[in-house]
Amino acid sequence: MSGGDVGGRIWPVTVVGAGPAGLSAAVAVADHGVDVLLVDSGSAPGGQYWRQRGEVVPGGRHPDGRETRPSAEHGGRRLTRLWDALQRHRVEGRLTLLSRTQVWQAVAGDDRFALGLTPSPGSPPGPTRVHTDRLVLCPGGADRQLPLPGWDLPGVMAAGGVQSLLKGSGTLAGRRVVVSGTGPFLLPVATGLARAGADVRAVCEAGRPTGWVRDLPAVAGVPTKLLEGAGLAAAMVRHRIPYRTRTVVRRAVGTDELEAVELVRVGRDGRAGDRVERVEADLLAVGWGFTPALELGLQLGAATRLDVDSSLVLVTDAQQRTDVPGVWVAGEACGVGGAVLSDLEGRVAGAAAAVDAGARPGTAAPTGAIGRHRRFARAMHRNHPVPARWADWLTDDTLLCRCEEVPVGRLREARDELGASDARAVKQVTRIGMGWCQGRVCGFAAACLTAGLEGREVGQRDLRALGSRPLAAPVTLAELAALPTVPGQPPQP
Amino acid sequence: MSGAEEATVPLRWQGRELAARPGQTVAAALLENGVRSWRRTRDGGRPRGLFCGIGACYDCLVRLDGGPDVRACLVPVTRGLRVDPGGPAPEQDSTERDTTVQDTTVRDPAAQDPADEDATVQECTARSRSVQDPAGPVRTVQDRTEEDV
Repeated sequence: MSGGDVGGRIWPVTVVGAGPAGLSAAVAVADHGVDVLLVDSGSAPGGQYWRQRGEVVPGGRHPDGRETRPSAEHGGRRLTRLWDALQRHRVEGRLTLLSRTQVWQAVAGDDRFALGLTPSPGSPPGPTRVHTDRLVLCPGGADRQLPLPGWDLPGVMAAGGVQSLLKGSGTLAGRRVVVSGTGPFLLPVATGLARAGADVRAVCEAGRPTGWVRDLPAVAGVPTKLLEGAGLAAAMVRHRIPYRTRTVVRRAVGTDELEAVELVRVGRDGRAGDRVERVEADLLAVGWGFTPALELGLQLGAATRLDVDSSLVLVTDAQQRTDVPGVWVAGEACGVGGAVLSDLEGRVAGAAAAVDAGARPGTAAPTGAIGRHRRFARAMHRNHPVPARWADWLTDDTLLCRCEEVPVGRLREARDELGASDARAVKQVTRIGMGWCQGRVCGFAAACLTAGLEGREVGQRDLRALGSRPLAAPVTLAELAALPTVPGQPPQP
Repeated sequence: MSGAEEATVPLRWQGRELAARPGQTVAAALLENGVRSWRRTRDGGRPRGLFCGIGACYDCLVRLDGGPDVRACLVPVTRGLRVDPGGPAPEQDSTERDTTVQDTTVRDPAAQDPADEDATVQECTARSRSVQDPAGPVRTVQDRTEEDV
């Protein structure tokens, strides 16, 4: 479909993001007989968690003529069903898929929305502006990061990124691996790497998973998770990967790339022990949960709240509606809870948007399943918090903002010497969060450190200060110059 | 598994030809060819390669066929692509930074990109080192009333 076609009409529903939530939402809208535009930055639907190999696209063909198919390993039957439904709706003209396109801006005009679009890196130019009556935002999230001494050495990577590299490109980021952080997500990362031939030396879990015993009802509510867990535990044994609980990596060591990591045990009070164990590694995969990508919701002024895992998330009702009329949200952006929950929420959001557009209501929403998955997610967050004393292993020299190369010490100076007492002031004075990544990597840590120095828990204002971005993706000056003078103005006939 | 062999995708990196696989990203291809870092930071001259792997961190910047900085982890490989290090040029003297007097000169854009039009907004923000003097009085940090955006 040419750029002119997409930009020249007012879409009844536009879904942003084609990960588990967005793919599900767009299919749900189309299932209800309403035209839907699905905009996605990737080359194919799936997002991060259901990421496919690069050459697999809906309706695509291998050089030998075979149809490219999504891998059952990355998404299972759920993804395959959605993928095939997406293809069917595309062929029938109900669903338009705009891949390799980033949404950098969402503005509300009178009664409708305008989205600013820009091609994903390395992609050909496409439509630059889209007008829509209803928005379903499914932007997902990225790995949450905490700084540690040496984390800027090549060879230290986000756990999710290591997995995406393997899923998308079939590439191993290293051969001798240590996986660390907290949460069940570390296990599929470790076992996936081991299956691909890496020597995974340890999984260092900061928490105590036996704490799950308290949350047995929540766990039992989603039996598939138990099965998954059992499968992962068996894989850990099969690959002989040590699972070290109450253990953190407190330093990454090396000259110009990672050579080894230092492990310490963490006591009940969260304090690190004295005994340091050195493990040689060329890859440290770190995961501390996920940070939802809220830029577009914040641009539209949607209400936020602090979730159980201290993530800033968008507030939604039972229909996945935000407090901005015409805007629904599904997936990690309204609470980190995994791919299946995202899929279920997407279904609800898509159906609600379609009914709002005049469709007849279809089958009942999966509220029971959603409730169970949310309870499970809350239990998971409670049992895998960011360690209370994580800042103990930082020195003044430890890099906090990687883009602007601002060390932790400068944040402390900003407060002690310049009186910067909130995250926004810290950002303005130190440049933390002003580099290319615009606070995506350092934002959570900077917000927590600022709040911690003030003797309080991290709050919404701190996170918002480092999470609001007027530009959700890099845009050239030429693209900005070509913007219509009045944002939200519908296309001229 | 089909009998057809996967064609390799040749790339050019620093005078070498690298072999990539179809569907890989540029970052993946660099890694598989033993290149773990491909740019240096502006102030410390420190090596950077892949960090977040999904386009959030902007560590992995490269220049492709002489174009502007792009995230290597997001760009699929194409035949004959020329890959060069991305990001700003490291400071000439990165050892000492006199923080009492800020360098207020605007970095010469011609050294980076041939067409100003292609300079991204964020790149401009990072490049022009304007007058913030951290040692001097900081106006209004407490005076500002409300949230900006």
